[in-house]
Amino acid sequence: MVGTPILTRDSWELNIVMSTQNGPDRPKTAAESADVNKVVSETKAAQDAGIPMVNLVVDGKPVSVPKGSLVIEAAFSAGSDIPYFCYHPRLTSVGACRMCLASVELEMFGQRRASIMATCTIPAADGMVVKTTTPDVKKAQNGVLELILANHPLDCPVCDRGGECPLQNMTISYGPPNTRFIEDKRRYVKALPISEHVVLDRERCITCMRCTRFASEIAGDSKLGLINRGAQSEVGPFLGGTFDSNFSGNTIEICPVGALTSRQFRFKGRPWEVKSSDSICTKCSNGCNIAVGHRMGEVVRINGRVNEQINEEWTCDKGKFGNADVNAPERLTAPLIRDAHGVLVETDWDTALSAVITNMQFVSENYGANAIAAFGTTSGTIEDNVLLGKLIHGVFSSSNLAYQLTQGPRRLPKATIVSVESAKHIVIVGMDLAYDQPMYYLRSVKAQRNGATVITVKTPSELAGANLTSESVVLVPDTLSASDYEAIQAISSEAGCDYSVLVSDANGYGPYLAGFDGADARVEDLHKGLSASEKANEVLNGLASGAVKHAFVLASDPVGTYADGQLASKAFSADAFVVVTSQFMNATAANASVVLPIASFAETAGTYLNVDGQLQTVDAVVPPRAGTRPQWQVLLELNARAGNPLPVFNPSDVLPAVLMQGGSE
Amino acid sequence: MPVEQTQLLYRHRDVPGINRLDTYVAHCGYEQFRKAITMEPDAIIEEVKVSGLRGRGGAGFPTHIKWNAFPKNRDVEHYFIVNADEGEPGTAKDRDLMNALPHLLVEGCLCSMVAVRAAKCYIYIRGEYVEPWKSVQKAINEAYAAGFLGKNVLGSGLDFDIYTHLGAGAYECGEESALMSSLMGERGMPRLKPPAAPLPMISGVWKRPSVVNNVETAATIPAILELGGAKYSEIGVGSPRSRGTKLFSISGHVNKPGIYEIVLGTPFSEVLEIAGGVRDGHKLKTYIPGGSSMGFAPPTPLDYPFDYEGIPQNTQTLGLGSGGLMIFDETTDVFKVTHRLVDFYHHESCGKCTPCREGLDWLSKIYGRIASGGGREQDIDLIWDICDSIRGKSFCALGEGAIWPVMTSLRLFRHEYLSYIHHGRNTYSDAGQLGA
Amino acid sequence: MAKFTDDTKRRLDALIARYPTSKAALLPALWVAQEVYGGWLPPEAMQEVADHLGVPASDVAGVATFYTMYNKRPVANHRIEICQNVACMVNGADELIGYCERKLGIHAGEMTSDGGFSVERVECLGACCHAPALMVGSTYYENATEQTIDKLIAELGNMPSESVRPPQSQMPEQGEF
Ligand SMILES: Cc1cc2nc3c(=O)[nH]c(=O)nc-3n(C[C@H](O)[C@H](O)[C@H](O)COP(=O)(O)O)c2cc1C
Ligand code: SF4
Ligand code: FES
Repeated sequence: MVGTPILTRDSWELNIVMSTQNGPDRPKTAAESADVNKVVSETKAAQDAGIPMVNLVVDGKPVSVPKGSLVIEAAFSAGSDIPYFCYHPRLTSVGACRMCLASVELEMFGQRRASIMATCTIPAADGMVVKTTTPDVKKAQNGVLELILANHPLDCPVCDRGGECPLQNMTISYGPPNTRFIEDKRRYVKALPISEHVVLDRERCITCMRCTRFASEIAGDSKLGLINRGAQSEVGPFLGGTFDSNFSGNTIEICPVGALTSRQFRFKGRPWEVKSSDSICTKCSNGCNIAVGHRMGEVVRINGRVNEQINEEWTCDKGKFGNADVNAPERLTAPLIRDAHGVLVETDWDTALSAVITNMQFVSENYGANAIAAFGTTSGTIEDNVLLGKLIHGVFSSSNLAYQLTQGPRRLPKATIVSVESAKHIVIVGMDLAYDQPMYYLRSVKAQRNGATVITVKTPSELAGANLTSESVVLVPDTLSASDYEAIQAISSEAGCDYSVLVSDANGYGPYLAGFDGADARVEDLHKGLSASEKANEVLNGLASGAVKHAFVLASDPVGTYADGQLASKAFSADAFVVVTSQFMNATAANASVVLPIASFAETAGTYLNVDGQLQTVDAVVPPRAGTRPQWQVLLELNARAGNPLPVFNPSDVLPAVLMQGGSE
Repeated sequence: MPVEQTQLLYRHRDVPGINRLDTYVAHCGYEQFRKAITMEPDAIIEEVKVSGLRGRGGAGFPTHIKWNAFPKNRDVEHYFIVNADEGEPGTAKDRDLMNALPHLLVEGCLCSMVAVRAAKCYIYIRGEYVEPWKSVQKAINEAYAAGFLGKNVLGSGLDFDIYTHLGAGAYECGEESALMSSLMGERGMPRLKPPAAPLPMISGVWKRPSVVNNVETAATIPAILELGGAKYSEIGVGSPRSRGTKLFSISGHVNKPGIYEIVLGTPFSEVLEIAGGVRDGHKLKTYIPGGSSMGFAPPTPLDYPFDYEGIPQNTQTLGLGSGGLMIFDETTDVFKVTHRLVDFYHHESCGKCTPCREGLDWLSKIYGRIASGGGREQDIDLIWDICDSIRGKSFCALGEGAIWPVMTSLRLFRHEYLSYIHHGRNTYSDAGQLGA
Repeated sequence: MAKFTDDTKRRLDALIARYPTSKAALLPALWVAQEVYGGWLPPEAMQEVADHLGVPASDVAGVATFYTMYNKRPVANHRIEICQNVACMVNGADELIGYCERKLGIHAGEMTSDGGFSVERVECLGACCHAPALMVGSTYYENATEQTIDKLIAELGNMPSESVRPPQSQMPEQGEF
């Protein structure tokens, strides 16, 4: 090929800020640190696993990285820093922003040459020599950053991203200190709402295509795309449509600027005043790891946190935005008690709690132990259930401890969240996986990208046409009817495959592990499967017939959710004394004698076992909403008032031994 | 003595009815395909290698190297893709070739398909080229009827299909990887190339082995097979690495603008003469040798071999490019021409990478400002710096091509920029004649 | 309201058959849609294409808006598209555009109030050797002069817009021998 002729300007004044904040130790945003950590830990894991490695030199330091790693990743592993925007360790490389330039010396077409390349696109290879800090590299990075900033509105003071913005960060470390751009910037309507949750500011967009790649590669729904071209390129949902994906919130987090921001978090606080605490989302059974952002005691936003076994780093919108209900004005903030006129009125905790204990004692003395019944909770913590058991069974000796509000067989699924990723044939029965089991859904998208077939059937009978083989992964919700499970069982066993029932609540097995339904709970039993329990039905019938006189309902709503709704309504309209703990008014609470307002997931500590058997413990993140109390404290107090003071200072003090020994797989 | 202009592609260009199968066959059409189909694919590639043929689409990459990179079997489908997107300003040769000699292209495709073991060929024609498209599609239909396309062609046991595919207005789709994106029904954005991704000959369109060649490249294959690679390689009077003939679209201020088949290495002054010389009463100011992305050349020297090597060495432009030679006389306002080109590239930038998208947007704004009298002296350095931030950093060669006219015009015609900056107009050209 | 008829769908299926994936037929399919929808592509047209090809609608919009020849707005019956690139420019394209603008009383990029004509500046048409050049519908007019414009406007004024159909409607059948 013809050598490119050289053209040079006579004098080139290097316009480089050698910032002290530049290099591997520069301050990073949480997302940037997560990227680097992921790469470094994967490199380590690959080393340990004996995966083929390539050896190269980055900034004079030899480093070996798994084959297939990119040069930018090798640089991270070597402890060097390379600025980037479009690169994301979980997305395919596009090499769009051209920020990650470094000098790469490699052999191509038989010649060894160093040139400046976008390191997020080049696979690391044996013998490469990478330099990230030469004046040429700095000049190139500086030049690209100047171009990125050219049309970027410098509205950082009013930008939600300001303070944790990769572009701000990179500019501090790698950018020009001033601008030579005196032209008019591109103008668009600012703060354009593109969905219920997301606002788009196209002026800030740097077209890194992270959000659009997320939509097509990770969420798999392509609900966000690029439109127009060149300098007019913009991201957006289909013309005139909205960005209605259950995963839209993630784009806010991976956007390296403030182009996509959260309507919920908008102007709720500057990122640096928002404290972040680790927690677990309890909106469904998946148990996604989240970071709860809170400011002055108020939860202001939810971000994803890395857990490779569960949510990688993603969240669904139900979790990301739905948890705002902890601030909802509808929350109950005072105990309610039914007055002489049969109306629920606010009261104080002391009155409410003594009314509960007084009635329990009365019922137990007059009608016998089993006239008291309790429903455990599949959304609260395991410890809450343990303490309820200690009260109802321990103190009052009742064996009416029910919890199962769905008909699904109780058995931990063979198909774990991670395993679905490598399935070849996935069949989903009767649910909208993206909404019901979001993390299963994301892995199924991954599987599909790797060539798996994913089929959804509406009813178990359609399963017969789904070409089941022994390799098939059949995913079933826990809300079908007993006969449906029989049908599924029959069809899948004929095909020689197993099926996995996915519980829907955050702690679907929590009451069982707390000793409900039998004395010694064992995690192994959950793997093998438990026989279906008739307890809930029994208790509801007891209530309906008047045999049960006192029912304690722990954070659940049988009237609203029980499969046999008729029976449940009948049960709770009989005139037993019903105590309900809840954050919100619900159908069961509406008929209760006492309603106890409890703390939200963010305000309480405890342990959850997620859908595929992973045990996770969280701490309270913010103090309970005034007037509410964490459930475990309420139950501790009730135990004490019933004459059973417990030496519990922390929920984990009552965690069943089986779980303390690492009962999860 | 002027170089004898051997005509290979254009030998029968002016024969009436040569766009019809019967006439084409009467002039030995499809003879080379009949030969090719009996040859070992590698033997064809060897002839192409010996011929020294280099891609006629712009980059001048040796054709045989691309073809040799194909897997030497037919385990998966291979694709031969013809680049008829011709969008480079100043280039009009493929259109002429497709209009006048569609069967030559079809035959060239067939020979190439044999060589790369492809059963399917897509001809990607830019959306504006409806006439050439109809011309080529008609030839394809005739070739099907005559049994040169279809199943078990000429009893060879091989199937050949050629499809046309119309673009829809995007210069970037001429870039070969963007063309592949577009062919697959995507936005015309370029794809990663080695070392970031496998060669298209290993994994191209639909992740199968594919190659993109220019219309003219494909149409040259029959001539190579006819003459034999060795004989073909004797044509050419310049560099030993620039062999054969090449179509040039010569436009601008010449007396006889048109498409000419020229022996590579012919001195530039003779090339200029072939097009009738600079229009009467005027003199050469500058020229763009091979399509706008190559940049402006100085008016001297004139006597150098016009070929892949001679052009960059003697003019400090990018090179021969696509053969779009544009001649400008002294009336030309080079700043204005450059401004037009900057706006063109700005309009055509696909927007994928920052340097091209933002750099050209900025340049276009600066040129607009200078043109309307708001120029500042420091703008000249700024323009240069922006070019420097694009150069070698853009994702594909569009960005690179866009800055060559800018940088070369700055180098050669800085005074015209300064004239705009100081006087608000170009005092070095008679703008009246340019239609300002 | 859906406008694709069974015939349209048959045409689309014939296009899909030419490629290994249905997505690859997107560009030709958009040409067909543009014809069916009277010369431009409203979002419904893109949605119909998306549905028929089984491609996400946002991808269809991405493609349709990337290419300049897919019209995102209703267009004039007769669009006079004049090349403004360099070879034409140095041969008087700007004057020609100016003439056309004055003659029709509109600026480049606009259409006449009756929707009959528009003048548009376009990039290099590949007719550099016969500059200046312009395109109406799918026909080129090279070495164009003011007379060319006069003649075109006089002749086309009375013709229905079908005479300048978008090109893909004339797609010849192939491969069926
Ligand atoms: C922005 C851009 C536009 C291009 N346009 C064309 C074109 O219209 N026609 C063409 O044949 N090659 C074009 N090329 C060159 C192609 O990328 C590619 O090199 C060529 O088609 C290869 O064919 P060849 O080896 O036969 O020359 C373009 C390149 C770039 C970077
Ligand atoms: S240089 Fe970049 S923006 Fe320009 S066309 Fe190529 S990829 Fe697109
Ligand atoms: S991070 Fe490499 S090009 Fe964007």
